[in-house]
Amino acid sequence: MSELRWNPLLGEWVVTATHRQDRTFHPPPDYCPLCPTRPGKMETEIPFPDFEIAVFENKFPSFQRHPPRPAVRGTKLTPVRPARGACEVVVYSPRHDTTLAQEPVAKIERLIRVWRDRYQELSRRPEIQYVLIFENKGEVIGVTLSHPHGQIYAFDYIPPIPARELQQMRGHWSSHHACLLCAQLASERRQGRRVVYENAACTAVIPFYARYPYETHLLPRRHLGSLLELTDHEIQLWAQALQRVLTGFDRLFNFSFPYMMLLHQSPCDGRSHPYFHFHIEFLPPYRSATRLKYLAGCESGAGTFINDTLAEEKAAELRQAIGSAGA
Amino acid sequence: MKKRAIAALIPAPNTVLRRQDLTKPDGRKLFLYTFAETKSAPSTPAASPRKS
Repeated sequence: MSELRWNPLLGEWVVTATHRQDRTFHPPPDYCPLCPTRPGKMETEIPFPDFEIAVFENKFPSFQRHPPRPAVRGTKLTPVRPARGACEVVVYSPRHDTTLAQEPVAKIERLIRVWRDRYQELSRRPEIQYVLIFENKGEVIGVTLSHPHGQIYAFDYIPPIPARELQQMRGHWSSHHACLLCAQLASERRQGRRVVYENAACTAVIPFYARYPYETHLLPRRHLGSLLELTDHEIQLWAQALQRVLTGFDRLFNFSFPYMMLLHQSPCDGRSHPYFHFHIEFLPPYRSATRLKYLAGCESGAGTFINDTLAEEKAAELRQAIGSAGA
Repeated sequence: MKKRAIAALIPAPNTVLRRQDLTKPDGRKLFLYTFAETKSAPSTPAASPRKS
């Protein structure tokens, strides 16, 4: 069963997807569904003995191209509709025991090209209005398969957080005749204290308004709406930047650092969004080597984050970790 | 018409990425990506708005 139920109190859709309760949960390595299929062994999601990067439609999708009819009837106050869209799994490597941070820059560059292809293909579907490419990494994030992979959700509406970003960017564009994130990037680069890494194509910062201690944003140096606008050279530089930031995360406390990685690209709703500025956000849940940042009462009840740390101090730590990882 | 905004942003076809489209027995799609190095000139970005 999978359907969208309208929450009139917050004005947003909730996905009800009960079949996901039965999804594969921390299988032993020999039964990993994301590994290549080995001769004589269980057939996995990828029925080949080897591959470079594989993408497949999720076996337990929240959104589908042809979703089932809702199992319940909605009301005028609480409409219900099919959960239309797409859910894909992006398997980064045939190796079970690696992470994106451990992959060579050339491999990350190839992954960026796959992200572009998926974004382009899904964006072309008439019903799709927004494509979210993301990675959940680490058990504390809720990952159920440890094999290195990311996911793609394609929505037939613009979800609340991208919609809010769009509204803010559109407002700034209207009132200042300039891009909001271009202004933010210029300010961060001018001050420099929160910049953790930079090359000719992008800048990584723990932003002034970070919600998580090590929240890191990767921003293109020039104004662009999606990965599709990157040149070949810029793709290489983005791959370098991703690797440096990710290895820096792992160096912070000398363990494989969990995070959510979220690609914020322009909506594909058929409208022009010239004010939208592409960026990647990393939301790592750790606030120290042993302590997690929880979304507790104030965050969940009021929608207001409390960050117990200073972005400037955390940026100095991460900058040093990135520097030592690259040395 | 509906998809014009995105189509305008798509750069020249990428010559290094290859995609094999397959269908699993249960009907789900599987895409296998392979890559070939080329010596082609670097692509240029599509025109995009810049206000600052």
